[in-house]
Amino acid sequence: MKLKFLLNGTPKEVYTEAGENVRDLLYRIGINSVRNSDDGYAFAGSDSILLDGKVVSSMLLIAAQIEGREVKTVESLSKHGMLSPVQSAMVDAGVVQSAYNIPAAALILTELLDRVPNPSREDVKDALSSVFIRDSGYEQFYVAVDLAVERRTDPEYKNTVPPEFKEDLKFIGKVKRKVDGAKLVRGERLFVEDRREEGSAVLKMLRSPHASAYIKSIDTSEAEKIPGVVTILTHKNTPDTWYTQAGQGFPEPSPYDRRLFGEKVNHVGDRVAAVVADSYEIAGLALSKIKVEYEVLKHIMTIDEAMAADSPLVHNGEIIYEAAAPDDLEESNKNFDPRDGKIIYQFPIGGDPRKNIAASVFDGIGDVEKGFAEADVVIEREYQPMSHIQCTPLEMHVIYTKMDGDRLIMHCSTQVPFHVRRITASVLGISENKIRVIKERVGGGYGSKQDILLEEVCAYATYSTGRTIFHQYSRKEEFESCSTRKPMKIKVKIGAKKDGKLTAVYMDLKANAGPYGAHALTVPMNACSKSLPLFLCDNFKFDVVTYYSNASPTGAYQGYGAPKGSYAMQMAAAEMAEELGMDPLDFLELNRVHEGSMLEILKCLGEGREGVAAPAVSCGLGPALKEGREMIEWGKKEVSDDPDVKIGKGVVIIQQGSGLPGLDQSNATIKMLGDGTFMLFSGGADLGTGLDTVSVKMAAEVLQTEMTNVSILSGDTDNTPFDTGAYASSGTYFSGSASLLAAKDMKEEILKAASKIMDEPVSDLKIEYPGKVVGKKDELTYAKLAWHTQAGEGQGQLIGQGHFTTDDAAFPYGAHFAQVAVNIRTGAIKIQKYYALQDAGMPINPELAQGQIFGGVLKSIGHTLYEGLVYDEKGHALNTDLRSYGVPMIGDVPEDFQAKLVYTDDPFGPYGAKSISEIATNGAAPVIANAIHDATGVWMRSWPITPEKILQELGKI
Amino acid sequence: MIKEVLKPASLDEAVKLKSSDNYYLSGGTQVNWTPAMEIRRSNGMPEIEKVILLQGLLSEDIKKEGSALIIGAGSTLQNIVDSPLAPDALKKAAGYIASRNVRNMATIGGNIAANRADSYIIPCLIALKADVETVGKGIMCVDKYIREAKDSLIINIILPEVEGACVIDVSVKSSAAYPSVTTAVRISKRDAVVAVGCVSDHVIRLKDVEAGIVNGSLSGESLLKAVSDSINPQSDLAGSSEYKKYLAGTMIAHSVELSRKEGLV
Repeated sequence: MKLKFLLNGTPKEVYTEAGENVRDLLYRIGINSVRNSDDGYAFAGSDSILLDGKVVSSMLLIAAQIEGREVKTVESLSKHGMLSPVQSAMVDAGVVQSAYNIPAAALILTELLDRVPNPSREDVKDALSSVFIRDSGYEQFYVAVDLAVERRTDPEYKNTVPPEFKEDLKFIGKVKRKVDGAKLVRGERLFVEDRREEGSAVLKMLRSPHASAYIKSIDTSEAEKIPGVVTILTHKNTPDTWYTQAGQGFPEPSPYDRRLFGEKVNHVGDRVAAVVADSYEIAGLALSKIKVEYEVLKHIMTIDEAMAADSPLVHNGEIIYEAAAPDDLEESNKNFDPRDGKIIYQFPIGGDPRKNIAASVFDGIGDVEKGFAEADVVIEREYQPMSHIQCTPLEMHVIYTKMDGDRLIMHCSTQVPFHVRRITASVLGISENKIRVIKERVGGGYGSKQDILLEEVCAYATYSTGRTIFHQYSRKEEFESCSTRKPMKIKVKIGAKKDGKLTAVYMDLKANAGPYGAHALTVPMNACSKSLPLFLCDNFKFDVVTYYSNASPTGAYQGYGAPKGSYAMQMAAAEMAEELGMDPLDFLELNRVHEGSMLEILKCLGEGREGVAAPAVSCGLGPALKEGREMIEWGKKEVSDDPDVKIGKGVVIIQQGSGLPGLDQSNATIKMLGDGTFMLFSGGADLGTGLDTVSVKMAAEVLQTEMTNVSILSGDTDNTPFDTGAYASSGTYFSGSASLLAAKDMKEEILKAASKIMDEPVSDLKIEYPGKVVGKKDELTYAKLAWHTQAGEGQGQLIGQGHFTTDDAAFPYGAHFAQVAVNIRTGAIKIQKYYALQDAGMPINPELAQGQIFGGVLKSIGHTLYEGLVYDEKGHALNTDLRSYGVPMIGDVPEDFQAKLVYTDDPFGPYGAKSISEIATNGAAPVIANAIHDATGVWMRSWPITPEKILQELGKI
Repeated sequence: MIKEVLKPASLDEAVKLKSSDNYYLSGGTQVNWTPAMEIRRSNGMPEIEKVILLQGLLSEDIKKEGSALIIGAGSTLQNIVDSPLAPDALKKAAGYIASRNVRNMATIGGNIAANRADSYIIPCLIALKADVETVGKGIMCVDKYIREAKDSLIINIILPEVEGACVIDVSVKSSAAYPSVTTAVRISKRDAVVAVGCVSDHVIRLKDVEAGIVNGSLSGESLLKAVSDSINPQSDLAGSSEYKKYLAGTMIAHSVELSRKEGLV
């Protein structure tokens, strides 16, 4: 049909099927701001448009429904590249992070302000009720609306909500626009899907309906006959190369236990075959024609099942060690089944696949038995944060691959472009120089894009066929085949003297890796290494075992095991305080780490290498606890007017790391351009967190030039130097430091070159704002310096380099306080107050730092109260959509939600900065559980803490 | 995927076009909604390929006629939330749908016709003693419509003046989650109506419980137990059967208590 409608004020005539989905139609005609995050579930709001002035979900509309009507998208808001007032306010408020559906939010807030000129908090909440924001936690949207309202009368009105730091610095610690904020909020073509060209093929995956099975036979002949099918990949025609999908530094502390397609499938949703075809319709038809005969095996889903003596083995393939093979390897390999393939360990990590153990480690300091003997009180508790928590990025996993001559080009949404290149090269059997990985803007990662989950399949398909191919997960595939948090069972035994002083801590941690062992050692270790060192005690012991199962795959997720370790340890501390009759906050104060404390336990918590004890050189716990105590009026009992509602308060302390000293590496280069401006090349991968802005600020501050004079290219393996990637809270500390070092190197180059031109010694020269070299006799602008150095007789373009590695650790700390109201009649839980006070050293981007705290906390509120995959008896996940899975929305934001930045001056971080984001996920579970206990007297020792579980604990059901 | 869109010029024509292989399309939040399509697939029902577009045919007005309130079936749930004429209970029920996008699209007629067990609207309409006016099958109460006539096209919802107090309640894990239980209770000096959602394959009315409330034999714990004993919900993602039985009981008992304590009745 010929469809006529008004699009952003312009009459449009489009040929379409009457039943075409409106989102698809709009995207097809170039409106790329309208995106798909939920496959038509009308939950995430990325597909929002205005239809006759009202906000609606375009994926719930067919073309015939917009005939003769007016459609507006975010493209209507900004003219000639300028931002609208609402868009400007959103960037300034710090809500533009990964930003996949930020254009939709801009459209919605614009509609709100047209409808309600001075909206209340409830109005804003209602307007954003259709938008799922995973990264920044909603709170700053209220600030954005206030900014937009104020700027009607005062266009210069500034965001004064975030604190600023260090008056002597121009850009560091100041509220400055995120460098990619404008293009993100405008909805420009920045994501992988936007690179897709006409004529490219698509890839669809045939996935296993069984949790464990051998593929007895697979017949693709009928499917291959379908016109438009390019190729079909199975275990029969793909490399027998084994690898880990974990995007970690090589050699990885994760077993190489999967290949592109295996003869055995190990979970519901595992890969069976991939069809590459000219269209989704053809690919779908081809999938239906593939005949697979399975030998279905008994499957195991839980840690207990995996541990059982008669448990089926998830991996019974040949075990291979690249180094330091154990003596009993031959015995272990006596009865391996070749259909199971291989498990290759780069070095020993305590794995024993014949007992379903993917990795293990046992260690400690001091003598815990002696410590328990010396204790006046010993308690032992088990905590079960067992739920499979999903990262749920708004942008579903995606890859676009094509050939450039004999080189493979990969457009990726990844946290680890250089690991993608290395692993893909290994799988394809080609050298790294034949591959270019371009990290596009990433619409949410949270750890799940640290792993190589679909990139290598698409890469192989393109490399073997020459075709350009697009592949994106559906939301269901995100849940079934992506990577979730590792469920854990954690037993904590602690001893303390009557005065509260800890004498011994023992943590017995068992984790469920799912079918493959990505991060099998390091995630559970991190649960220990980010929870135990918060306490000063001479005797620590930990036993960590990670088991294989046939549940959903697991991997990295923001916090990387720490939220679960923190939950167990902080709960045990609170339970011990109760046993001792102590105030839990006093107990924490008595036993906590202080500035200068030596963290001895870290010497047995290396990530696959020998650890080292490290000092807590900077630690903001003291001021955080002091301020939080006052904010929440600790000790004051709150009473509800409703007799069914009981109110309680909780407190926890948390920590994380800043990258992996001794393991990570970052590099950057910076070039002076012909007019004295700069181009910065960072290997770092900005996930929307503001890392590019951090890097630009480093350069602008050192070189005393405006941030607009520094442009950045990052995460492109052809054009930027190596970086291990954005994980382990490494962005600011590692990649930011590399940019800082590159800028300092450039500064030296500038002074040396200026010295020759100005005929003054370097010692007499200094750099001054705005972008000039000042000597005792004269001054030289960067523009003139560039002309001199790049002219025919010049010394050559000025280039600075930065290379950052370190053995020094910078630990971020925090104290989280919560006040909850529990309805003991219904079990309903309401978070009335949540105060997150975090020491991030010097926050380079204060507004973005606060946004990441809000986002991390809200995510973990979701994990604590709502989220978790549920399986049927056959291993199928039942809640593979965002709503039934249970992500938090704006209606779940605590009534009083505050993120406070506690300043400390760390000597190791760039300008004193430490990491900010991951740590924020460590507090919610224990602090909410502790507050529930204060309110009701029950200890909630498993996730998620649902109303039903509360009622069970209260004996109501 | 929808392959054919029929565009009738009138409601009568729409009804004439209706057959077993096509569906009315109004707001789109049911017919075009992926979960609804998946439920059809899992139940072995054919894909919806042909729809009758009702756009522009159904009234979107909300108006008083005598003591009754007439709500056009094409009125969106957001229209109801915004209407100064709609009863508070109904506005609240419409507002329970967390997404403004959905409220802007979903029509009240479509919501009733969809007959979802977890509808927020249907329990409230039953409690308010609402009727629906259909094309061809006349006027009937909502309770009867969802049991006997759900394929007929609704054109108006007729609400009598609210007698007594109507209290609605919902239990959800998170603000946007599917509800575990939805309840609506209206009590007057003459009668009581109790409706519960999420405990059967459609919203149900508990007439025995209503009688007990009216004659005073049921209140507090006995009411809770009577409600729990009169339903048999399935365990699902929103909670176990035992949990839903308890919740429905306590929510209804609490609603009754609230009505009486606040002197609403």
